[in-house]
Parts: sequence; C-alpha cells; structure tokens
Amino acid sequence: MLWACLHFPALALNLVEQGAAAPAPRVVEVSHRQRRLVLHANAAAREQGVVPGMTIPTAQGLVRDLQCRLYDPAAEQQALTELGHWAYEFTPHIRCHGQHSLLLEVGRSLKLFGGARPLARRLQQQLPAGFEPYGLTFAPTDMAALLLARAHAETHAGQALFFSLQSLPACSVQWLEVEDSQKDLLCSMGLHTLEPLLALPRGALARRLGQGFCDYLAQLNGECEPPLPQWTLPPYFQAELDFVQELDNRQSLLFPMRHLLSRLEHYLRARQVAVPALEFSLWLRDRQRQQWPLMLSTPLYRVADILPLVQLHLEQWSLPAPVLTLQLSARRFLPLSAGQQDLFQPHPGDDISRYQLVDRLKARLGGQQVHSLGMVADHRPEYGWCSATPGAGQALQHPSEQRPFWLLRQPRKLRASKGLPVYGAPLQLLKGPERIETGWWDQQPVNRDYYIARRDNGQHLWVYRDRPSQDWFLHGLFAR
Amino acid sequence: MDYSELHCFSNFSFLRGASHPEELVQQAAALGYGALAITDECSVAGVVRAHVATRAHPIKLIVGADMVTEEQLHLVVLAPTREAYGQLCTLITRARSRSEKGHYQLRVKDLYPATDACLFIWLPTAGQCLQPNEYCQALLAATAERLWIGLENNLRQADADLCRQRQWLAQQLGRPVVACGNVHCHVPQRQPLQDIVTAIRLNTHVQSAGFQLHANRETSLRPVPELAQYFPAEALRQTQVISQRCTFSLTELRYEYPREVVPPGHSAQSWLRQLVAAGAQQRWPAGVPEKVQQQLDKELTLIHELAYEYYFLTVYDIVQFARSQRILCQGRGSAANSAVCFCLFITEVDPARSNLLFERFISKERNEPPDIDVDFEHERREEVIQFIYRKYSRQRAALTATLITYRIKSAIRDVGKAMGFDRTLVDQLAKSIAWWDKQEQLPQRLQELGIDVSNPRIQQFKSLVDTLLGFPRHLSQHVGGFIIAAGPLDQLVPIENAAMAERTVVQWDKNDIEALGLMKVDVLALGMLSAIRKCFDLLAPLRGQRWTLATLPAEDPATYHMLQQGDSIGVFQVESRAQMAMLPRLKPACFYDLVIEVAIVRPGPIQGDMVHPYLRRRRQLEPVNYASPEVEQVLKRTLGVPIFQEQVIELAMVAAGFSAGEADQLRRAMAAWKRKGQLRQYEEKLARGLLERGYEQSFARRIISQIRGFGEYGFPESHAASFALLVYASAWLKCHEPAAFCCALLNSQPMGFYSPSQLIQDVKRHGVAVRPVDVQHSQWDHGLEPGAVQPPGQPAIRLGMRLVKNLSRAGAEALVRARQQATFANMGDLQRRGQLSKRDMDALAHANAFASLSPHRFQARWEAQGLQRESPLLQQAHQAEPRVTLAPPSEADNLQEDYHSLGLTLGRHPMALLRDHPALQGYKRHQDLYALGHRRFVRIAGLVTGRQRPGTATGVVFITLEDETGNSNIVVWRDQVERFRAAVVHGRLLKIKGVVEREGDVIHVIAGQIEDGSELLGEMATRSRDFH
Repeated sequence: MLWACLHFPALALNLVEQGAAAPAPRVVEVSHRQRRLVLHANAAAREQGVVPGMTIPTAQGLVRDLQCRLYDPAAEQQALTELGHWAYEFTPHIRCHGQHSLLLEVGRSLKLFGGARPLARRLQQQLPAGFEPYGLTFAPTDMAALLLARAHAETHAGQALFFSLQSLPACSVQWLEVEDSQKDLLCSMGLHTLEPLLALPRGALARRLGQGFCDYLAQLNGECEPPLPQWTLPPYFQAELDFVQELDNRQSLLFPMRHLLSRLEHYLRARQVAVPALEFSLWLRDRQRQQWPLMLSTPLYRVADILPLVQLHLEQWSLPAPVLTLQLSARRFLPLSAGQQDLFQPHPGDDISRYQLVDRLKARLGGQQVHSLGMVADHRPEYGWCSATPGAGQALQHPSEQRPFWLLRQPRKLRASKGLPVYGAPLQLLKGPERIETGWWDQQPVNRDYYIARRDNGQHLWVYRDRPSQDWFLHGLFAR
Repeated sequence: MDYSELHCFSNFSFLRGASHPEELVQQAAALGYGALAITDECSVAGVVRAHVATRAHPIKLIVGADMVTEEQLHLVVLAPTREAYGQLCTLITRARSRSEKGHYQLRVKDLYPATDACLFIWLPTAGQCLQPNEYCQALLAATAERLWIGLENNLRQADADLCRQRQWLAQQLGRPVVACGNVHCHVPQRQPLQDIVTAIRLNTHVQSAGFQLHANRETSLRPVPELAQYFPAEALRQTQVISQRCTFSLTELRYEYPREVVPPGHSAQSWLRQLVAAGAQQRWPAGVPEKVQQQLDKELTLIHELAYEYYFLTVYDIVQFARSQRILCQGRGSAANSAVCFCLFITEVDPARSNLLFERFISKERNEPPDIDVDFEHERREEVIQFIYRKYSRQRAALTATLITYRIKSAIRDVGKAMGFDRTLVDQLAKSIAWWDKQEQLPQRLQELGIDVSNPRIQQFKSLVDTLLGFPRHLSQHVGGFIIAAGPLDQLVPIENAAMAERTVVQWDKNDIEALGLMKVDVLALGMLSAIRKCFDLLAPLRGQRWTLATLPAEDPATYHMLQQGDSIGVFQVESRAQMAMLPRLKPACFYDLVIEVAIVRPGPIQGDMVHPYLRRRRQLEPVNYASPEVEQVLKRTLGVPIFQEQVIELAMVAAGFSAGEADQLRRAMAAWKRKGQLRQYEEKLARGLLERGYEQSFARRIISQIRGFGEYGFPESHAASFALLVYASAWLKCHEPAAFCCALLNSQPMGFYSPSQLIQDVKRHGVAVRPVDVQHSQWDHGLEPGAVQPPGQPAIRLGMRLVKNLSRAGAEALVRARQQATFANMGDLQRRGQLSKRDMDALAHANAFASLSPHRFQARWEAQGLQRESPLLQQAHQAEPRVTLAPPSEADNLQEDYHSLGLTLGRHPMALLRDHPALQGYKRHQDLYALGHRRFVRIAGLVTGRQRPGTATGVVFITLEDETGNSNIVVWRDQVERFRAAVVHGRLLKIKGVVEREGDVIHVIAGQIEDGSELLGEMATRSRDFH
C-alpha cells in the first residue's frame, strides 16, 4: 500500500483568500473565552507583525485596515470534503483526517498514472489554486504519511516527499497524533524521537501510556492496517465563496466565478458527468438574493467551455447592490452519454406554525430580511432598541415605564415659543423633566431634559430640550 | 434656605461612590451646606478621613451608614450622639459578621432595641409605599419618632412619582419627609468615573452596563438653590432638624488600654517597675551598670508621665508568650530601643553595647503615640496572633485594616476593561507600565503600542485612570497591626470579616487610628528570624551550644571583614545588589555602622543626595562642618549628613523653630507624601524658619530637598537599629557557620532576595559541600551531614525533598518513616513500603532522587511509570515485564531536568556547558573581570537572575548576570534600554559588550551593546526574579 497525505495547515485562511479580490492584510479569527483571537494571518498581515494567538484588537492596532473573518469550522470541513471530491479523480480510497488532512491510498492507482512520481506531479498540478501552503507526502502507512506531512508542511511546502518507514525513527515525538501530556511523558524519559520509542516492548509501553497509544504506533509502523476507506460523491454540487470585501461590479465577479467553476469541473470529472444547467446565487448588501440561472444548450463539464458563456451573460444580469456571497449550484447532471432526471421536490402543505411562517418568510424574502424588534439596555433612547432575530430577542424591563412605542428615526427640531416647544401649536408639557445625560464613552453623548407633551388634538408626544443648545426636539409619539 | 446632605456615599462604598471623603467635605463646605453625613454602605471606613478634612474645610460632619435589610428596607442610619455611634458600630459589626468579606446581612429585628439612640431615614419602594408589609411595621415600631421618610429627586423618570408616593406614605404614618441627595460623587464631572466603577463592580464594560448606570449626573452634591426647585420646602427644612440633633464628633472617642496585663495588687506603674527590675537583674547578673540604671529611671519616669505603662505591658505580654514558645522575636520602632524594652526582652539591642542615645526614642515634647513593632518568625507568627485572640477575645482584639487602593497597574487594568478595551492590550500596557514607566510616560507608551493618543477614547481613558488612582478598592487586613481595647471594640469602630478565615479587621487603617490617637501593636512576620532560629537549632547539637541573639559574640572583626568585602548573600537587609555595592565603600566596622548601612541604601537618602557626602566625610575626603551648634547636636553621629527620618524632624525643630506639634504634622505629611501638595506648605515654613534663624539660603535649600527626597522613603533610626542587630547576627552566622546558615535559609524559603539556586551556588563557592536529593538520605527539610573535609569543621548540606516539584509532603514523610525501618532495596520496595502514589514516585524520579537505586533518571522515570500500588502477588506477576534499558541523559538533559524539577542544579552551571559554543567565544566570566582595569572594554555573557529599575535612577536598568564563577552587575543606561528593549526586558541569557567600571572591589559593567542569547538555553528553566 502506498498512502499520500495532503495536509492543509491554513485551510481556513485559504478560503478567505479565495474570496478576496485584491491582496490585503487579512486574518481568520476565533472566539476563545470571550476573546477574539487571530487563528491565521496571511502574509500581508504577518509582515506587519500580526501573529496567530494575538487578539484581534491588538492586531488591529498593528494593521489599520485589517480584514477579519470569523473562523467557520463547517466551511473548513466542507472545503476539505470538496478537496476529497477533487481527489476522487486519483483514487476512490480517501479519508478526511481532522480538519486539515486528506489521506489517499494511491497504491492501486500507480499503474494508471505511471508510478508514484508522475502521480505526485499530477496532484501538484491539478490541485485547485489557493490552497497553499500544503504538505504532500507519500509513505507506506496512512499515519506515517500524516505524521511526515505535518512535520514538513511548513518547511517543504508544496513539495512532494517520498518516505519509507525507515524515515520514521528520526522524527520528533512532537508530531505524534497523541495527547500533549503523553508527549511530555515521553520526553521526560529521554524519548525525544521515535527511534528509541519504537524499540520499546509494546506491553511495557502500553502499561505506561495506554493501549490506545500502542495501537496508534502499530498503525503508524504498518504492523496493522486500517480498513480501506471508500469515498462517495454527493448527488449534487454546491459551493460558495464569502467575500471579505463586497464586490460592486460585475466584472470583478469573474475571478471568483472561475474559481467556483473549476471546483465544479473537478466534481464533474470525478463523477464523469456533465451539466445541462447551473445557477449562480448572490447575496447582496441590502440582503436581497439575486439568482442568475444559466441554461446550457449542450451539457458541458469544462471550465474553459462554460466560462465564455458566463462572460456573455454577465453583461445582461442585473446587479442592484454589491455582493457579499457568491454560490454556484448544479443539481441536474447527464452522464457524458445522455439521460435526465428531475431532482425538484414539491413544497409541503399550507398548515404552518409561527416558526414555519418565519422560515417561510425568510425563504421568500431572504434570511436577512426578516427580523423583530429588541430592546437594548441603554439610557439613550436612540440606542435603546435593535433589530433581532425573530424569537431570539430577550425580554428586558426598562426602568422607565412611560416610553413611547414610536421613536423618530431622527429627532425633529421644534420651534420654541415663550419657552415652550411648538409642533403646529405650542405644546403643553405634562410631565418632566426626566434628565438623560450619559453616553460619554462612545462620543455620542446626550444631555437632554425629556418631557411628555400634549398637542391640542390630545396626542401625546415625547419631546426634549437639548441642554447645551437649549433647542427643543420631537423624539417620539405615544400611541394614545 | 439651608440644607444638610444626609445621604452621601464616598468611595469607601467600594466601586459605588466616586469621590474621596475629603473631596465631598470640601465641596459640601464650598456649597455652604449646613452639614454633611457620610453614609457609606454598612461602613464607617471613610469617616475619619472626612473628619480630618473638616479641619481645613469647616463643616459639620455626621457619621452614618447606608443599609438595605434582608427584608429589602433601604435605610440611612445616623449617629446623633456618642451612644448612638456605639450602637451604629455594633449594628454594622453584627451585619458584617454574618457575611463573608465585603458583604453584610442586616435584619429589621436587629434594630430593636439596639439602636434606640440612632436616627433613621427610610427610602421605601413604591410597593412599600402602597402596601407597607409586616417588616415595614416592624421598622416603624423599632424606630418610633426617630424615623424620617426620605425623598429623592435625581431627575430620573420614576423619581417624581416615587416622591409623591413617599409623601403620601409619610402623611399616612405621620412621619416627616426629608430631602436626600443620593450622592455618589462630589461634582457632576465625576459621573464618567462613577459609571466606570459601576462597570468594574458589575464586571462588565460601560457599553453593556445599561440601566445599571445612572441616567444622568444628578447624583452629585448640588447647589442649594437648585435643590430648592426639586424638593418641597419642608423636606429641606427637615435636613436641618436632623442636623441639629446630631452633636456627635469623632473627637469624643476615648481609648482604654486592656487592664488584665496588670495583676491584682499592682498599679501599672509598680508592675512595670517590678518587671523592669527583674529583667535588669537577668540581663546584668553582676549588677546593673550605673549608667544603665540612670537611663532606666529616666525612661520609667517619662513613661509614667505620659501614662504609657499599659502600652509597654501589653507588648511585654505578647513577647513573653512568644519567648515561652521559643518563637524568636525582636521589637523595633520609636519606643522599642529603650533600656526598658531591653529589660523587658522586647529588644535585644543592648544599651550598654552600642552608643545609641535612647532618650531620643521617646520624647515628651513630640507627643507621638508610642510605637513598637515586633517581628516574629514568619512561619510561627500565626501562633502569636491566635494567642492574642485567645487572651483578649475577638470582641476586644482585632487587626487594623489596610486600605488597598488603586495603583497605576490596577487602575489601567480595570478602567481598560470597563471601557471595553482588548484584554491583551490592557494586560500588555499594565505590565509594561508597572514595570518600567512612570505615569507621565503613559502617552508615549500608548503611542509605541500603536494607539492613537489623540483618539478621544484614549484621552478619556487616561483621565479616568488618573482619577481612579488612589481610590480605595477594599479593606484588607493589615500585616499585623492589632488594636486591643479594655472593653468591646465594636463600641469604638465596626469589626468585619477578613478574607482569611477566622480573621476579623476593624474598618479603620493605621492612619485613621493614629489620627484619633488610638493605640496599636504591630505583630509582624520576618523570614530572617525563622532562619536565625532554625540555624540556632541546627547548631545546638552540632556544637553543643545554644546561641541566642544576645549571646552571639559582639563586634567580631571577622564578621565585619566579610561584610566589607561585599560578601553578603543571605545576610539580612544588606544582601541586595545596591547594599552589596555599598558595603565595600562604607566598610562597616562597628554596630552603629550597620545601623547607618541599613538606612543609607534607601531611596530617601539616595534621592536626597546624602550618600556621597556621607561617604566622602567618612573617608575624610571632605571636612565635617555644621551650620550651628544645634545642628551639630542633631547630625554629629552621621557626620553632618541627615540619614534618619528622626534627624529631619529634629532639624525642623532646632533649626527652623517648628513646635513639637508642627514637627509631628511634618512627619505625617512626609508619610502621606503621595497626597500631593501637603509638603509644600511645610517647605515654605521651613525655609522661612531657617532664614530667620540666620542659616544660609543654600543650607535651607539643601535641607528642603533632603526632606523632599525622604518623603515616602525615610527610614527611622529606631527601626534601623533593630534591623542592624539582625544584620549582625546573620552575618556572624554566615561568617562562622556558613553551612548551617545556608541550610536554615533554604528551610525558611520563600524569603530574602535570592533563590535557593543562588544561595547554594554561593555556599559552594565558600567551600561547603552540597549533596543531592536522594531517597536514601534526604529528609523533607534540608539537613546537615558530617563528612566534608574542607573547610575544616564545616558539615555538608544534604538537600531535602521540599525542593522537589510536584512531590507531596505526606508522601515524602511516609518515605522517611519507611526508611527508618530499613534502607530501600529498589524502587519497587520503596514504593511498596512507603505506599507512595505514582505522582510522588514520578516527581522523585524527575528530581533524580533515585540515583542510588536506578542507573539514571530516565530509567527511574520509566520504572516509576510502570509501578502500581498493588498486592505483592500481582507485583510479582508484573516482574515478568521485559527488561528495558533506556539511553542515559546527557549533561544538558540532566541540567534541564534539574532546573525543571528542583529549580537548581548541583552539576555544572549552564554557562559552563555553553562556554565552548561558538556564539560565546571571546566572552569573559565574572571572575575574569577582576583582572581587568577600570575603563577596559569587555564582553561578558550570563544568565539574567535579576532585573531592577530603581525609582531613584531615572531610566537606568540594573541587570545581574550569573555565570559559573559568580554574579556580575550590569548597568544599562536609558539609551541602551530603549535600543535593546526586547533583550533587556525578555532576555534570559544576555551577551553584553561594555566597559568595566571599577571602584576598589566594586565592579560594574556599563553595557554598550546587548544581545539576546536566550536561544542558546533551549528550554532550560532559569528563573529570573524581577523586582520592581
């Protein structure tokens, strides 16, 4: 058996960079104990001193316009899976290991590709762009390939390395797929490399480090073989790109579209099918979703064939707002021969719950379009509310009970007459003042005396006098 | 319209109030209030400060407290009379004693009848107004006509309605309403800080604190005309009614000494005389020298005139207990070094042995309260404390509080957090500032961290930090200041629980207690006393003689010779880098020289520029002259240069005409130097006084700058003398019994300036053999073993298992017990008989303690991991395990493991191992420096074991580099610090190119270029102690 390991140490960053139009300092951030930390930093960010483990505000202190993307483990796993689809062209025996490694049993494919080195070259050449740095190693066992790939991913990025099991003894124990505490214990017995470790009697070792450790060593050393994995391709294709910075013209979409199409091509090649139709979906800044379906007169599978058609259509498609996310999906496939099937399912019945209504509304209007009102604990009225996910807002008791339901988007300045505000006619002040003087911390301080006022038609208004300027403003309307 | 504020929080309502009591007093006086009540949250901790402030800003001060009962009744309790004050203190004590530190629990039924002299303001909720429940009824019953209903109007929306409801309730109950300000700060501008402390209290940031923040700035002290708009006239008038009923002032407090220290049939005077006479008999069995007897008579007369007998008897009583338990102790302080204290065994400083003038330690004119601090062995002080509690009960004895206040570091941290700044950034900032920089450098540091200083948030941050500085955070227990009274203490001051279990503290700190003229005894802990006692214990069986502090041979030339070489590692007080550099210059040759040595290497004398003049005069390089005979009298013993705090005070009296009272105020102002501005008025007065008395302008300037330098850091002669005694004792032991002394120091860790590693290297350099931790030989403690050939008569030190990381004491003791039956045959035998856990076995293997049972530590660790606690039968079954032979560790492996497990190595020094490394070619060792001349260029490398940035030397960093031959002192000037900042701050191994600076035997290297060589160390665990 011959195993290849493709190890992608910065996969999450790769995804961010693929969605980016122009080079800029970027990081992937994670939340750890309520702190925002840098998980990966691209070269431009690292150049300015950003390193993984740093907090985001600190990194922002170093790089003024740092672009930050939240770490998305699901997307990362998805990308790894897609890479698995891509690798399907080389072997059906593929396994994802963790979030960053693909293990391929290629022993059975050697003949097809004319040996290990040509195969390695093909892998290197055909690996979709934008997944650098990566480690590529060949070894007789899966765990050995993995260990060696991790050990060399940074130092020999992008190079194909071939190892026999004889190269294991020289490796440091730090690359073992075991607990850190187990590694510390090994070092404390002078076992810094695999050489003395592998020489130890397994029974004695199991007693000290556990049977699991020894099972792992056996797998590493080829003393036992794991079952051969079988890869299955999903029934349809869908891939998307999030943009770090929104794209605002159609031409700039071409590059990410090409990227998605090349991922589609890998899928199609692996399945030996072609597509009669595909669809681009775009999520826009104003939370609209735009759909650009593309019907092909003949089923196609190569980027080179599809891209010119896309280019042609790009001019006609309308783009009302800048794009945040681009998705490509294909649901119908034809074997490179012929055939057709409908994957569409009819919608379910009419009887729907509140949540289903929200879901339905979201599906109809776009997820970002539906929200409810929430309260925020802030004395300043204009900061006292927010829009929230329906059903997710928390109940909050406002210390003041007499607050209007309607708040003007902007307080409206009122004329004053004889010290009283005028709205149509002079208002009668019923209650007040309630003084609100706070908000010094975010440069939006207010210093106001609020009153409940009555119009001559009986309507109650919420007005205030700005204390520094002594000007009157209308801020809210009571419902009575 | 007159107004008195009756509901006002100071910042002693921790993280609620945002103004100092002094600020509130000053502002209330400026606004023309009739009176001001300080009503902190179940506390009177701030009232003494307010009381003192009323001297400068006259206004009537009312003592009170804000409390919310368990039944949700919000009350302001005021003390109109001394009786009511006692009741208030008792009430607070009761409420506090039910809760852990910082909290309280009060119940309505506590009020009745224990508070029948107090006045109450009730701040009912809307619900309570509409439907008074049974607890409200209980409150009404308990308070009767001493209850007011408080009205509050801070222009919050609910205020107007609530005021109406409360007025309605008051009418129903037939009780008067009274206006309350609900004051949280003295001026509106303080509101942002109030928001910040609220956020800190809630552990959130201001952006998220929401409705917990005040909606506006109306909770400050407001002008009376404004208040007249917000409150009914009657409510304002009632503030005056209450204020007029309040006649109590803190000046009424009187203190009574505990009476049981005098046995029946004796007066305090006769008992003290009897004890002193008996002590003198013991001290001088051949008869008390005439001079000493005169001294005793004089002191006893003075003590009687000032009625201090009880004080001396109380201290005697405590010391007597310690002596009976063989706990070593030593008194210090203004009254401690008297012949009376020598005869009472409070001090071992022998009046006949040194030339101290004792009478200056107690002075009738100065009218200072007597001050005796007693140091005890640090590991046994708790026994003394428990004795005090036992003897006087917790009702009558309590620790004084120490006010923990915001320092620059904590202020940055908390304000940064409360403003929602990134934590790492705040950490970084706080760390580097506390370490390195003065507050003025804040903007520069911010800029260096890439922060835009012109950003308004940063401006706010800076100003909030400045204001928060010095704010009280919480009351902690004083390290050992006891207040002991004749009656229940809680009539005098509330007592509350400390963080430590079984500890209680009063709500006042030592300044408060001093301001009110109360008495305290400091029961302190001193590591060196533990070490000296342990050394005496080690020597008793070895030499057949039990030393005491008093019997050590006096004025031993060999001891002084050793100190003159700067050979002082481990010696009390004079072991620091700066002291070590001073010793060869000052060349102490008698006891009084040690007193000066202790006092002179302090920021005070250094900043006041007293060190060099003194040294020059001592070496007769410049003439000693005095501005007048009066000055000569004060300064003669220090060659005309003021070195001790007492001298400065005396100078103010004899040369500038200060009265005793003024001099005492000057002393306090010096102690409280940080509260700016106070010294200035004295400076002017001093200058005037000196010039009027014919002293020259230059003399006046010098004295004033010396006083300024003393400020915070002045060291009193009375303390220096007691310390000097311990310097001498420890130096004598180091000189004549280096092995026992080092062993005792190691057994008293943590203490002192040096790590065990440094102490052991030093003792090895003095020829003492040090043997490794070994399961066949070591005890838990370090011990002495016979057998070393050199130096003759010196035993060897056997390291104890207490040094081994992760080893349990119980495990080690079980091992020793098992060993007493028979030595161990192998590791399995040891583990079986000692029933040691796997973790303990592993820790011992890590420390290489199995060297006598196993080929090497890797093998031992392998075996330790394989051992299991099980029956012998199963054990045998496992012996079938194949024999495994692991490779032995290299020297570097051993070194790393040694440092990791023990923090030190008995093998070669890391630098010795690295000597041949190409990167260190051409680098000298410490020892090589002595062969180099002054101003010679040198390259030197070593491990960083010390890093100091003295406040007295602006921008300079002193680094101690350790190598296989000793410690070198590196001076890094400010420019170099900036240029090589990363290396200076973080480097563990430094390579330095510089110039030798040499004065006699004192050698420094002035760094020119600094390179971080830490990578050479790999993962070696060197520990660098960073002193700030």
